[in-house]
Amino acid sequence: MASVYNWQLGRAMSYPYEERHPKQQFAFVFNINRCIACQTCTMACKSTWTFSRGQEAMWWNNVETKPFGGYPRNWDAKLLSMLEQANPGGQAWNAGEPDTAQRPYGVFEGKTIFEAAEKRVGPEGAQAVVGYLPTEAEWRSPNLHEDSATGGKWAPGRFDGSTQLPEHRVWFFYLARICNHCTYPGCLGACPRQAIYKRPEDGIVLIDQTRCRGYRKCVEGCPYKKVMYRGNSNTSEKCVGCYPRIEGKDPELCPDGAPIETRCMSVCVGKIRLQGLVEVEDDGHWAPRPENPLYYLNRERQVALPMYPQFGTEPNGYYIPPRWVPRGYLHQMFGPGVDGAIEQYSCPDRELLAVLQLFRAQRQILYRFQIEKGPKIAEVPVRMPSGEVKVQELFNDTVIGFNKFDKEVVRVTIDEPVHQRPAEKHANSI
Amino acid sequence: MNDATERWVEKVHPLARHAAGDDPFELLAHPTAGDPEVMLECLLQEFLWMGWGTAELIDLFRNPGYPLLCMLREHYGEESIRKQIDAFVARSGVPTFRETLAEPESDEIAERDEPALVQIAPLC
Repeated sequence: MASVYNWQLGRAMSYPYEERHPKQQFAFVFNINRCIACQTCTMACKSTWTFSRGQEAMWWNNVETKPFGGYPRNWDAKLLSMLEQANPGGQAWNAGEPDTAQRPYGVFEGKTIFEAAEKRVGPEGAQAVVGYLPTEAEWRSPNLHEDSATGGKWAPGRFDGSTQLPEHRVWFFYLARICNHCTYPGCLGACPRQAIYKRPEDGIVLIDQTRCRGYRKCVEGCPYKKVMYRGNSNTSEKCVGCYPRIEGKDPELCPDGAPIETRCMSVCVGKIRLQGLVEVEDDGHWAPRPENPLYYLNRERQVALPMYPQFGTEPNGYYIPPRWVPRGYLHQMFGPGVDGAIEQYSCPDRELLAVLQLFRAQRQILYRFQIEKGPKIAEVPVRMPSGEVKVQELFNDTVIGFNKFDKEVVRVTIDEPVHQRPAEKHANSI
Repeated sequence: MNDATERWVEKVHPLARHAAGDDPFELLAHPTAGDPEVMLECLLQEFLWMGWGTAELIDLFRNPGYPLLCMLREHYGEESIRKQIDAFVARSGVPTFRETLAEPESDEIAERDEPALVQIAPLC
């Protein structure tokens, strides 16, 4: 295997192919503090891309309930336990000396899905990737009955009567997922036909349907289980990143050729999603563009974190972790950057607060933002996760978003807080 | 076995049986510790700051389509949630965010060509 640099792990790692990088990379941030699983994104994707025969159980975008659910069922718990078996007690981070550019989360000292595979030797040699093929039953019920610990149908006033398990305290959260269009995709590394490729212009990972023979090695190799097999065509399929929209080639939506966010991002009513393209340097690092909202949130402020970076694929989907979830669980899912991210998000400074308003403000991909400074309008007490109360300063700032052609497309202004008081206490007014 | 009562036991419906530790179909998860109050406060802050009003939020908590919010309502009761919303708004107010989309310039609209028709199947 070749040696490639994975900045999320803070070190070089093994990968079946030599390191090569696209000019730009498709990336996104999901703020899961806001997601209540309305599934609008799921249905938008389904009705656009996977509505045909053979695609019935195929959900390129899904929203699952954590910690109890998953699509396919328990995908992450299964893979984590496979890696733990391959490297007992060794799957740990050394967060000792973070370095913003080279190792922002410290160094992962365990084994990735590629490294753990090197010791799994079969008749055909060492495996490329450690993974598993989910059973048909595991794909069948995306987010059905996942909200209760016992897995039964939830109804008001009752969780489930079939078992005597004690019910959990409700700290769960909803995890929206699409393909992460990884820098080092597990699916690509596992494909024996070299049918999977990463587009040089935007880093979107696609399957060449003419080369695919349906061996399902990609389904096995993708740690996030975002490649799905289609029985009636005997090929695998996956999220295509709505590439016609990213290319700006939709004549109705983008007559001037400006890239538009994907379907799932564009329809998000909860404003949890922000998607874009980041510039990538030859060595794979993101070009320092702090004026790009994605670069700002991921690299400059590190408030958005990759999901399961320890798998080693360098996923390009990032998440603002939910504040109420126990830290041990979040550390396992998002790495050592969790504490810093939650600390910042719980009481954002004026710049971060402004950038957070760009989520789903409109549908064009934003390449740059600018903030017009306004006067201070309020001080608001905010309870931090530690219980400490901090004072958040609010300013009458306006954040402006610009598209690919540096044309202003949206501006969001923060206004003075409105204080509602019960009417009966002010009955003496005229 | 002389006593007839020992030979007769109550019938137990399968639904009432205790879950066994090695039963993979029942033990899908285990209970976890956590504080639903923090969760509720975080969710209220997110939605109030996005501009949701008290009535709209309460409706959301009543909607069985959103089990997370419904479970919190069951746990605390509607009145308690309403009080928490009022307390939050009284404490910190609700900042509003004014959003303005840039309108396309008028000559740009006029110049926009109709999309070309694309033949997607061979002509018969």
